[in-house]
Amino acid sequence: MTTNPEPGVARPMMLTQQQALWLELMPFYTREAWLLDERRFRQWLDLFTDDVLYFMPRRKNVPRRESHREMTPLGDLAIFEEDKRYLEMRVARLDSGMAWAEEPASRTRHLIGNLEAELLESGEVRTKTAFLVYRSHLETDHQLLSGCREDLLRKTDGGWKVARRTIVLDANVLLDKNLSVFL
Amino acid sequence: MHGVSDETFKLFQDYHNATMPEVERRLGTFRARRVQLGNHSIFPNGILGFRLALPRGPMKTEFWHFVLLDRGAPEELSRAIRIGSQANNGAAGMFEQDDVDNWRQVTEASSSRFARQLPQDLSMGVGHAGPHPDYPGLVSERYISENNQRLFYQRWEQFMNAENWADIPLDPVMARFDGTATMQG
Repeated sequence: MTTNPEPGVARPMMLTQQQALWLELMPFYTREAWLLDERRFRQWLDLFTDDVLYFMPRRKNVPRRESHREMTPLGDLAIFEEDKRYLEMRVARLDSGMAWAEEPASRTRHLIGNLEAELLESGEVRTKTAFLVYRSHLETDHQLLSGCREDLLRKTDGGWKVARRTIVLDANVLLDKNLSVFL
Repeated sequence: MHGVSDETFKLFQDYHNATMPEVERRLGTFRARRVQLGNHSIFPNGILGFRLALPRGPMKTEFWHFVLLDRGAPEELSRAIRIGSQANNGAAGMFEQDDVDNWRQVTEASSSRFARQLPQDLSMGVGHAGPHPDYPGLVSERYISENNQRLFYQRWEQFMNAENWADIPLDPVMARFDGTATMQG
């Protein structure tokens, strides 16, 4: 006969380093998603290092044999290639009352999952996450953005911070009116 | 920080100074030093930059924005121009994302039964444009006016109503072409 554990009573578990890292980072990404969806953008900015590169290449529609050309490299025209000051500018303009793409504000839902984390020799962590982001805007406009992110995370006094983020959309041509939400 | 900013201003200034002799040789001193492009447009497509607006059917326009770089410009300068342009004018651009919403809503609002009965008001600055001793065409004495829009639609009307290309009137070219780059071929 087995006895059910008492609810709320923690049982000691042996975690691998990989599992411990996963458990430490998943709440980081969950929190980030809530900050974005609750429009706490200034707090969201604090999740990035001062030397961050926030990068979204274009994704091309190419034959399989040319798949090396599918993603535009850094240095080609990109959708986002932002440093911290540009990100700060984007957040500041939301409060200007004249950022019409976000006035009234979008209603968003960031669903982040499929986390994989790898500890690097430098002590930094490389992660991959997948996202589905739903955006509803004005009365009837809506869009669904699907893609993945690769982050380089650095541990600082203020906790984990993103030092580099590469966002890859699954879409080739963006079929939406614009891209005014953070991913 | 990219585009023209405090940090990159010197890059732009140095490039301007370094290329000025060549620009003057090709365009002449007047065009090289007096004519500055700010809010420029080139009929029928270039508006606030080098763009292409492709009609894709009723209520649909495909919009292309080009970034022009001088092949011989320093890499650092090209990078500043590219990043500044993509940060403002791409799908996620800080200007463009707002403009798309504005234009779309203007188009939708103007298709209503009542809006269609009203002419578009483009009267700002009427009577404040005329010939200019230094520049060809009608020149507005004010920086902000709808002179450009009025002339744009007048010209567009001429194109739309013409039976063939030969019917589209062309003013004689009166502009001054010093230097080696001319419209005379």
